[in-house]
Amino acid sequence: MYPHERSLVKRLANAPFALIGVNSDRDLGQLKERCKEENISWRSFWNGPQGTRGPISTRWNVRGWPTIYVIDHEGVIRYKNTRGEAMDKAVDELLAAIPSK
Amino acid sequence: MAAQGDAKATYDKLKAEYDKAGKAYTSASRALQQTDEYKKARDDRDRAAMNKLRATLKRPDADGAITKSFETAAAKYAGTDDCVQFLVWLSLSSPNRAAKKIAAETIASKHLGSAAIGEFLENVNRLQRDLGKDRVTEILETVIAKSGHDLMKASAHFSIASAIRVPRGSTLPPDQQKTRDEHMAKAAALAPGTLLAMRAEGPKFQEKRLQIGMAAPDIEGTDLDGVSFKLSDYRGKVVVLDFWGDW
Repeated sequence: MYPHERSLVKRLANAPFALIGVNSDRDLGQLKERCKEENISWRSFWNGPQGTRGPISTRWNVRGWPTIYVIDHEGVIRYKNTRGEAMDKAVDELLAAIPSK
Repeated sequence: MAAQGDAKATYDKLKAEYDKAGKAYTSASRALQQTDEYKKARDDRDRAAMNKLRATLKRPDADGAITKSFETAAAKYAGTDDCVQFLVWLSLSSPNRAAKKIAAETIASKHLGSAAIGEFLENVNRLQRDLGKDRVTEILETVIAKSGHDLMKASAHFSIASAIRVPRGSTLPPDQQKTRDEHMAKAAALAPGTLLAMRAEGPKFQEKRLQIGMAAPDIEGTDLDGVSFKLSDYRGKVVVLDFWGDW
């Protein structure tokens, strides 16, 4: 996953786009080291010390990892669990639909 | 009250010891996966070789010393509510199956009225193999009938509901679905505002709030550096929300 996420973030660095994670690792210290190693630059909520049973994923009823939601500029859920090229396409389509000012 | 502090301090120390061993195991396992020898075995799909390499890793509490310390502490505080935390750990986390079973049976026979068995009740379905399915059901029904603590009753309802497994890619017969929904609703009602309630309401929340075309519920939390932010801070941008973990 990481390479695809990295390239997506890089490609859309200047677009109105954000990749936001909800991270479910229990050990925050270890995780931050891994983020450095893997060059994970995008922002994540931390799901807390309970890991996959933490509050955010519980509220969102997440049963499988990773779970992905694509949300448009108005905050509406538009796609779920789209991956790879399909995700790129979905994001591009939603970006194109943002009315220009 | 002094005794209670002692028990808690002992518990925290033992748990930290076990968690440290767990972390050491995880990092050793990660290191092993990076070795050429392991990679080769994996690429060759050579299960025997992979298992042989994995067998060199020291599992947490492989020598049983931590389990023994928990048992000693449970014996020291036997019969009191202080003893419950040690029994809960033994039943759910000890790698020693005999120790698990003894601890679980002690909870079942002496401590079902305790307010400190929430974690046990929420995870007791994992002990079906050790205790038998009927015994687990009996434990949960006893708590629902007799416990004076709503949170414990909620946990018991939750576990009865989750023991009714929804088959993958299929649905439950209507009567079973109804029973499951009723127990989940009771769990949520008895423990409002808790994680348990959120878990119990999960499927309903997903159906009512998380479908395509619906406004994404806001998330308020902190990032990995502890800085607070909200999902709605990103309104105006297209957002890929990725529930992930580094494992």
